[in-house]
Amino acid sequence: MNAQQRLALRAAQVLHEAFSCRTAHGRYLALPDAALASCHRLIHLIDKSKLRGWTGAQQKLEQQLIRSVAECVDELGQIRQRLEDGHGTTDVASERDIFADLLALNAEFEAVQIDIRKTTLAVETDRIVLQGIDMGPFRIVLDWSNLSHHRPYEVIAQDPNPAASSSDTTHPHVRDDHLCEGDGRAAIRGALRQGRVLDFFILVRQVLESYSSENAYVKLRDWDGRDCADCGRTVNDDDCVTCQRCGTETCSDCATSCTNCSEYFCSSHIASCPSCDDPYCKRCLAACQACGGKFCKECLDDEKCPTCRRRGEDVCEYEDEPDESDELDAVDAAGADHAADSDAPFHPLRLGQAAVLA
Amino acid sequence: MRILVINNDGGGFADHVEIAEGTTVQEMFQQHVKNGRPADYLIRVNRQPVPADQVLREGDRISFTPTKIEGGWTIAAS
Repeated sequence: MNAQQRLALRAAQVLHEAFSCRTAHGRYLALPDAALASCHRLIHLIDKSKLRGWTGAQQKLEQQLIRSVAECVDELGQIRQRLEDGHGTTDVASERDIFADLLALNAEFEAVQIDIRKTTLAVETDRIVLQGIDMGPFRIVLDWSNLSHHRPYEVIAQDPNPAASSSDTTHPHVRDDHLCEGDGRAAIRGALRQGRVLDFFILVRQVLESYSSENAYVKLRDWDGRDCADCGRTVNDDDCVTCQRCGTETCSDCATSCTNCSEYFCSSHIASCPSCDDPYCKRCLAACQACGGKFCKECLDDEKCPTCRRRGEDVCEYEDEPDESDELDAVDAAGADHAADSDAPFHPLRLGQAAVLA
Repeated sequence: MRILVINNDGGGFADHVEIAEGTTVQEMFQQHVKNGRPADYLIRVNRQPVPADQVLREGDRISFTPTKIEGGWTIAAS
């Protein structure tokens, strides 16, 4: 027996003990503290988003909250299952089986590292390439002193190529070094419960080699970030706002909030009231009955703009731009998309900009 | 004779089962992975890749692991 086999044999003894007596090496049962903390954090952020009228951000945070709540429910369900099953009556692999598993790991993975002092068993995968995007190799580290924890292992990128929008997301299904197991969850938990070390590492590797766009932290198509439709800058998810009119995604600098309804719009769907210069969306502007110009309701009195009222005549400076209001009406009626609107003679303004009138 | 069958598909399954003498790997696969294709699974006997027509022996450990397992969050059934 060589040195590597002797180490594997020793590790098999320790691992068998850890799997057999997991309560002696960890807590009796671990509640999903991390997932609960995530829920609290997300609820706090959603409250802030609502206060600021960041509808797009709110929607994204709510999606994240659904995941965190699902994780809590799932982990609590597993705890209940373990209690109902008798908690610890599961057959655990023998020392001999674990020893064979440890030796077999060398045939499955490039690098296998056993560290008895640190109570860790680690393997390194080949480079993971998903739809042409190279995520680099991953190190899967199982801490056998932590088997009662719902996440006794970590998945650490060795040559990270994180998503542009999230530096903590090193794989569509890995965030903060934790794998979102998805369809592999039951099998991975089963392998860990029974001490099937080889199966555990292979299952984690197969999840890493797969991609589910539906359930990704960051979709591969967005891996390099999202382009702001207005300024073209690549921005991350948290800095992305969806126009409430056309659905276009812009960065928070380019999105403008309507003074009246507080919803956010891209530059093509926000304008300023020619009188007060405040930004308004089309639906919150109304036509002056005299000149036809579009004004906010605050600036209209008796359905006339300030200039028409002041001059007491039917022609005012704003009437020089009849096409603008016509265009606005046409856009609203047709529900035209952003690309079509971008060519229209409709001069958008952003917060802080003043209208320049002829 | 008795062998250990590990099916890592879905909810996972690992148990000792009785099989007839002369049962091949392919036959076991068809019994335990009803709707799967062998090409979509890592099939191991005693932790080693094997040909489909290999005959299983007393005490063997056979495992089926999908090559593709979709990660991501899932809502647990109540």
